[in-house]
This record gives sequence, structure tokens and C-alpha cells, in this order.
Amino acid sequence: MKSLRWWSLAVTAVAAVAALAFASAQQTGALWSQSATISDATINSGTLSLRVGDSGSQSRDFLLSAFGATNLTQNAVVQKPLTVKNAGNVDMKYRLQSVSQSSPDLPLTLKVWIVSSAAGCPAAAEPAGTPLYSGAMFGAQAPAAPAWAPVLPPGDTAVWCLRATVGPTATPNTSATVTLNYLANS
Amino acid sequence: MTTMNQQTESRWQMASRRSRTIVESARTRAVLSLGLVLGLGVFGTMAVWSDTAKATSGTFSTGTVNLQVNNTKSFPFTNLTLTGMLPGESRAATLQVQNKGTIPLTYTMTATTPATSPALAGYLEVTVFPGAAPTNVTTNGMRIGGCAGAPVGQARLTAAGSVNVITGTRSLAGTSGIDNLCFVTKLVNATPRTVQSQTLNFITFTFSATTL
Repeated sequence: MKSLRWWSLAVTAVAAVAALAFASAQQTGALWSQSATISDATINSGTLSLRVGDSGSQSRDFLLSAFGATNLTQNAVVQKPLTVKNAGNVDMKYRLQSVSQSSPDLPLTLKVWIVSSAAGCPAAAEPAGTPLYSGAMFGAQAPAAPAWAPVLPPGDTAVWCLRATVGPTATPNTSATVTLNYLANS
Repeated sequence: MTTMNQQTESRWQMASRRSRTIVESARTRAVLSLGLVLGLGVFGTMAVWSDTAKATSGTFSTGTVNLQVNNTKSFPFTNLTLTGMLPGESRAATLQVQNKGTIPLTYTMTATTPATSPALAGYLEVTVFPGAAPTNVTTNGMRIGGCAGAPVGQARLTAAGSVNVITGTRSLAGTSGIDNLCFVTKLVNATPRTVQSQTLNFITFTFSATTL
């Protein structure tokens, strides 16, 4: 008996689905339709490509050797521009996601601005305006998540002015390199 | 008849319960399916492309500071010794201040006498000149030391104390900066007889560097 009832319910369900399908087909069939074919249609996916470097060249892994100096003393400043490029073909939002330092022995702080050109990032004087970030070099993020830097259209570049300052507690004969990790999202 | 009716009712109740169970199960599945669809939808919204790039700096390094005098950190300045001095007599000697660190710097200098210094110390005057050409001559029985040029520092010593002698900024280039200094130590003319036959064993000249 149980088996019979199950079958009965199943048949009812299938019949309902069939009725719906039929109704749907009837409705589709009741409409006028027309189609056209576009020959040689091509659909391409976009490309998101973030590159960093100097004004002359950018790459995914760039050595910004100019951002560094020797014989530094306490409170010494090194300021250099960094070019960020949208090398893809879709709008790109991005940020300086993190900064790592090869050695913690050298206390460094970082300030960053987005400036209109490399000329806006001189060797010594701070650029005008409020910095996008001001704080410890290690762990820096600019702008702080979830914010992003202004969207960079395809092919465009932005110039970031990086200002590193040696901390007042720095000791002689210490050194470090820093790595600035940028993240882009579509 | 009653029994048949009861059985029929019981079957309907059982069928109704099963039907409710099936319907509830279907609802549960539908809700779960909807959840799956919504879950996929949310996941689809989060699926953005991302890319990364990194810039590695050059090396940031601090320089070294290494101030020396005549190629050592502690130089016995024995040339600046004179015994049996009389008021007005003096002695000249030279030494070289050296920056053997990598950072350019400026320096100052103090003169300190020991805690057990006699009163004689207060009547000694130290004058420092640029250059490395001291002269020590005896004229009319008086021993006179001298240096050329304008003094870069001068001070009267204090017994068991410290005085600033070179207070201006004397600059030394990094790595190989040198500054030749010519010292004159003089027992001042107005030295009283009360300090005769006293001995000041040593004066400590301390050079202090400040990085630029």
C-alpha cells in the first residue's frame, strides 16, 4: 500500500511538472520571435594588470633602487616617486596593501602622497596636502582597507611620492630594504 | 461499518501526515535550494579579479661615527707637558682630530682636570688654534709656546672641573675628515705665589662629535 501511495504522489508531481512545462511551451509558442546572427562575433574577457616602477618602466616586481640611501643619520629623509600603472584594459582600484622590511633594526617611518607628476615629489620638501599614510614603515597600508586609491583607468598611471624617515633611535651601521606590495582589484 | 469508517479515517489521517511530511520536506528542500542559489549569487558578487605588484627599495643604511685623535680613541698628549712653569710661560703642541666614520660631523671640545687637582689648575689657560705648526722658544729665559692664526677656542681651566674650550662648530668630512689643532697651555701672568710648587698631573681634552 505504501508503495502504491508513493507512486501516486510521484505520478502527480511529474504530471504537475509536465503541465508547467506544457504551459510554458504554449506561452513561448504564442509569441512572435525573430533572431539575427552576428557573424565573427568575439567576446573577450578583460585584463587586470597592475605594474609599478619609475617613470621610465614598470613591472610586476620592480627594484626601486633610488628609494634608499647610505650613511643615513637619525631623522634623515629619503623621498622618491613611484609610478603605478594600470597596464590592463579594465578600470582598476588599488591600494598599497602592505610594506615589509628586511630588518627591524633600522627604525623607518613612511609618508605617502599621490601627486600629479614626479616633479611633485622633490628630493626633500614634502608634497602639499595631507598624506595618504603617515606612520611606521613596516605594515603600512594606504589607503587603509576597505578604502582604495582613486580608480585608475586602463593605461593610466599614478605617481606616488614615498617619503622614508630614519627614526631618532637609529643606531650606526644598520641597514634594511623595504618592499611595497600593491594590490589591485577589478 | 463503523470499523471500516474508522479504518478509512485512520488511513486519511496517516495519508495527511505523510503528505504534510512530504510538503514540509519539499519546503525545506526549496529553502535549501534557494539558499544555495543565494549563496552562489553572493559568491559570484565577490569573485573579482585581483593582481599584485611589488616595488623593492634600495638599501637604507645608517653611517658610522668614529672620531679619533692621532689615530686612536685615547691619545696621551705628552707633548703638552711643561714642568717648573713660571707665570707667563706656556707650552704649544699639536694633535689631529680625525673622522674615521662615514658620516660627516661637527665636534666640540672640553677640558677637564682631575678631582684631586690643585689650585694651580685654575691658573692655567688653554687656547686652541687651527694648524699643526706649534713653536716653542725661550726668550729672555721665558719658555713661550705659540701657534699661528686666530684661536678657535680658549678657556681658563677649573680645578676638579670641566670647561668648554671649543664651542663653535668644527666640521669634519666623512671617512677621512681631519682637523689639525695647535694647543697652547699657559700659566697666566696673574698666577699667585700660593700655587707655586704645585703639580697638575694631567688635563683631559674630550672631543664630542655630532652628526650633520
